[in-house]
Amino acid sequence: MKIFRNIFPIAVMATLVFVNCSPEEYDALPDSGNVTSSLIGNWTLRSVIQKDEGAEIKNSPFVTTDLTSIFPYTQYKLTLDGASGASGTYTAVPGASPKIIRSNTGKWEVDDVKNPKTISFINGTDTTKMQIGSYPRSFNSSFKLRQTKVDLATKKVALTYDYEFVKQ
Amino acid sequence: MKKIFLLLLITAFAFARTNAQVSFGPPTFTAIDPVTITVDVTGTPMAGETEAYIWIFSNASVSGNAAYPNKDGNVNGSWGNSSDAAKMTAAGTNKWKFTFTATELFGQTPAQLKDFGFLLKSKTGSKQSPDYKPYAFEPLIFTPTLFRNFPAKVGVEDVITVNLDKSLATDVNTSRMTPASVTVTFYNDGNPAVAVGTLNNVPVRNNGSIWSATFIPTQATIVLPGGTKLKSFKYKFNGTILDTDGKTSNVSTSETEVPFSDLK
Repeated sequence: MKIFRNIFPIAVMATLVFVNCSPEEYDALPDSGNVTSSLIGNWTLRSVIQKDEGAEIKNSPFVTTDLTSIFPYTQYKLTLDGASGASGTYTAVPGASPKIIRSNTGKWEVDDVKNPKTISFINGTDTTKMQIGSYPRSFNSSFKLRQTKVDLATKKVALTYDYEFVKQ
Repeated sequence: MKKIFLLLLITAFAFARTNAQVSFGPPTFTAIDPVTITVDVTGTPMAGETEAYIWIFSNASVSGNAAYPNKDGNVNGSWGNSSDAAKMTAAGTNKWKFTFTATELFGQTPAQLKDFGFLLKSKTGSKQSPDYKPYAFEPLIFTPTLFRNFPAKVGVEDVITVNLDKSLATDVNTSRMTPASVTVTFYNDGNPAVAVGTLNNVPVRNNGSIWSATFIPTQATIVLPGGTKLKSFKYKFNGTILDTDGKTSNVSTSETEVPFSDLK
């Protein structure tokens, strides 16, 4: 009887622990189809980071440069118009900032409407292509674009620019 | 004494001739850079051959050193039957060239690659040149310099920062000057290259002993002749020093040239 009194509370606790160890249910991941439409809107450039892709392997202390304050990049404004499809029109207003897209107006399009990895800014034969680094979310209304420059002589990436935009 | 002198002379001549037969583009390279070997086989058993195959091997100056393992190039094939990937490209009478990147060719890390050697052979191995070796790889380390551009490779559309590290100056004016601006001169791809535009008074900033200036060639306020293709630019830092009478004098550093890379 004494043994039963000792074992009973342990058995009850063990039962409660097992019962509470059921799998937790998570909400479904956001519909990736909304990614492209989340890019549509008015954006302002927040930061520009330039990286020398050959510097790290040489243990150089000079791998990146924050260009944001060197030129007035934060004046750069970008508007992406269009429905939730894979393309639309864009308008860039650099202000005193250097241009990051060669043409200030034109058409934008992504490689995959549901899971876009690259966005192209097209004006006639002039295309500026960038990788999409992060999408705007409800908790983070910014997105990142990366421009990669390849050395045609070596076919290797020589440098990259990381642009971060925030919603106006 | 005469015999020793003659022997030294012959040896020196032989070395000079061997070196003259092989050239590299670029002249110096690391283990991760693509490099093109051009070799003249005149005077070797491979002279007059209509095709040539490379037989290439890493760490030619060392043997049995675990830090620098000896490996054959992955294009070599077998001695009696070279692979097609080892076939060299004709570059003139008795001249052949071959392009490779060492880390890819040998399947070794930069730290495992000290140098390399090679020879030319017929496909079946019935004829071969002498060994050409050893040719060292430049070390993959950062070396501080008086002038430095960031990034190391730049195109005409890129943001370019030029730097002057005064702590490394060897002349009095540069070490004592207070930089105020940078002058950038752009050169076209003509032969000889001609100065086609100058960017004056690019503002400078400093972080300790390092002074910097930043510009974008295609967005700079210079007017280039139509159809101009830029090949390089030269830059110099301008500033002031106090002379022995306490008066301010204007001084400039020497000019440094930076080639444009074709970046896309």
